[in-house]
Amino acid sequence: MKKSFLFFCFFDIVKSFIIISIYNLTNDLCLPSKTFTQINQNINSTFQFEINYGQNILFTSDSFINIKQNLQSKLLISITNSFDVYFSRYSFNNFSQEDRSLIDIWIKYGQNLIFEDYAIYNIDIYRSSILRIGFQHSRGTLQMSMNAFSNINEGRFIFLRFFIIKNQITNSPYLSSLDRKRGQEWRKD
Amino acid sequence: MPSYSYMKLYFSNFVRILLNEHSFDHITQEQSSELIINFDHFQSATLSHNTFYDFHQLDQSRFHLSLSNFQSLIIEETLFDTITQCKYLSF
Repeated sequence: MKKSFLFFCFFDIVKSFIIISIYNLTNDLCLPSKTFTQINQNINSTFQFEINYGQNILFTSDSFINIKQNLQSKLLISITNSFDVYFSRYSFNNFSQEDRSLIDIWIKYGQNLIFEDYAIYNIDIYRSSILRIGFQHSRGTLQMSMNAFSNINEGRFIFLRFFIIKNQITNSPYLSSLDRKRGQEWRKD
Repeated sequence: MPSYSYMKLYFSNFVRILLNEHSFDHITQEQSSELIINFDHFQSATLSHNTFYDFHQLDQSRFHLSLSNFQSLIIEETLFDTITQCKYLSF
C-alpha cells in the first residue's frame, strides 16, 4: 500500500514554493517562538527563508517548530552578508524528514555563528534525507555548546553534514566537540 | 487563488507597515497560481501573530513575501502557522 502510494507520487509534481526574503535590513532581527510552525511539505515543494544584508539574527526558542517534510521537499535557510547568527536553545525543534528531503541552513559572509545547548533538537532524518549546515566565508568564530545537536534520530542512508569553509577564524575551542559529534553521526550510517 | 492566477501587491516608499493578526487567513493557492507581496523602501514593519494562518499550496503554486531596504522588523509569535504544500487538500 505504502509502496504504491510512493509510486503514484513520483509521477505527480507538486513543486510549490514559499519564499520569504529580507534584503537590506539595518537593525537586528529576532525570530520569536513559532515564527514558522506546523509546516507540512510534500512532493518537491520548497520553503525558503533568506536574508541578505541584515545585521544580527537571533533565532529564539521554537522559532522553527513542528516541520514535516515528505518526498524530496526542501527547507532552505540562507543568511548572507549579515553579522552574528545565534541559535538559541530549541530554536529548531521537532522536525521530521522523509524520503530524500533536505534541510539546508547556510551562513555565508557573516560573523559569528553560535549554537546554544539543544539548539537543534528532536530531528528525525529518515529515508535518505539530509540535514546540512554550512558556515562559509565568515569573519567570526563558530561557537557550539556541547549538546547543540541533540536527540537526532536517523534512519538508513541519512546525512547530517556540517561544512566549515574558508572562514577567517574558525578554530574555536568548541570545534573538537563538533568533530566528535559529527564522528558519532557518521559512524551510525 | 484560482488556477493560473497571478496577484502581485507592491508597496514602496512609505514609513510603516502593520499587518494585523490573521491578515492572510485561509488562503488556498490552486494549481500554478502565484502570489507576490513586496514591501520596499520603508522604515519599520510589524507582522502580527498569525499573519499567515492556514495557508495551502497545491501543484506548482508560488508564494513570495519580500521585504527590502528598511530599518526594522518586528515579528510577533506565530507568524506562519499551519502551512501545507500538497497535492490535494485533506479535511
